[in-house]
Amino acid sequence: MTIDKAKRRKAVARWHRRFAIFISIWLILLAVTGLLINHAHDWKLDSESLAKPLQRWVYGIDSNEPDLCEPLTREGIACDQLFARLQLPVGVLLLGVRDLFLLDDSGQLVEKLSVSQFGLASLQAALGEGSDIYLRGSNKTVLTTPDLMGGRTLDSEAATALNGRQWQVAGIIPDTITWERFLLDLHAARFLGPVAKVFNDLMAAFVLILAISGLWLFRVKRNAASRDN
Amino acid sequence: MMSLAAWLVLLTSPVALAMETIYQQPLEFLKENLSGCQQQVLWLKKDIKSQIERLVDHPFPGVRVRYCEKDGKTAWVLDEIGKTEPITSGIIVNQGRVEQVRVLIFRESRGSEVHRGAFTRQYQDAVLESDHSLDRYIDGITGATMSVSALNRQVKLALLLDKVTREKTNDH
Repeated sequence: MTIDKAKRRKAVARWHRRFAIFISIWLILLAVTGLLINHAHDWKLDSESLAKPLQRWVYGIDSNEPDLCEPLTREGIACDQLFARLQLPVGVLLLGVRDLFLLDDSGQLVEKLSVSQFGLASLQAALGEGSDIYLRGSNKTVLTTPDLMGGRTLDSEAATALNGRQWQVAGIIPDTITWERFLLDLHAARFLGPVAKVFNDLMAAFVLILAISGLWLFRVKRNAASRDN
Repeated sequence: MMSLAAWLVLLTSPVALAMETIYQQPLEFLKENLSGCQQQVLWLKKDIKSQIERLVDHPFPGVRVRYCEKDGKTAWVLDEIGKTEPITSGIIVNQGRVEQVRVLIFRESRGSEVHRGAFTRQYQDAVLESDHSLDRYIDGITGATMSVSALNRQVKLALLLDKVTREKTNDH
């Protein structure tokens, strides 16, 4: 190997090392977040809310809404489909797309009830007016009582008359961020805002440089070794 | 404008697009099999709840279960997770014996064969033994093991709950 070649190899090796150290931090973060995202559903990260202080610090969301999930997570129930709560004369009704959760005044879960028991495939909206609870699915509206005993399907005229009221609509997710959302943002470096795209491109370029320089160093080393032999 | 946006979000939400087969609505099931039944609630005492949890092998939410009752027969609409999604079944119990089992809503991507009459007929006249097992062997279905287990749990749970309601009635 000539002196020039040796100098070049040393310089490449030095920069290869520097890139590797710099990139390794990012790669570890990518691997850990990727692993967690891959198992987000199994580990309930897609339903578990981010801790409020972290949510406030990272996203600037200061939700004053009561934590809908808290009474359910206490009972080991995933609350990924929960979208609102209705205050009842006695207790609270948590509204999920598929299930209703009746809580007593102390926040204890009294009953979990499938919306299919009211003839609804899924709950799309709900309205509480005094002691009347209206549950709306894709094709019908059911009137029930706060203890959810029985239900009467409203005719289309009566259902239409309720359209202008303050319905709690599914699909409008309360101000809560799940761990999965946080991990996805971390994984994609979205916290950097508009710079995230450039940052990711840069990191990808660094990985390519690292791979190419690594291959080049390997070849140079192998050639030198075979010459020595 | 806001409500229009909300409805649009709803229509395009994954929940709206979720795979779900409704074989029969629970209310129709009750109407067909126990027409004119009275809706009741069964409050679960701590010991009953722990019995239930042992039987289904997972925490049981809440402290009450609703059912429909007529002429000594009870109808139960129960949810049980197959693999990841709940299977909703309707079970009619007549004096501790299963009279009818029907899968009403199936949400899993596999194992829907459990809704077939040839499978659910196996539960007819089944009784719950003192060790909380069924008095008979239920033939499984290849590729639907978890759905079959879920259905077994539902039937056992319905039988247990029916037993509790009968004991309560006898106490009074």
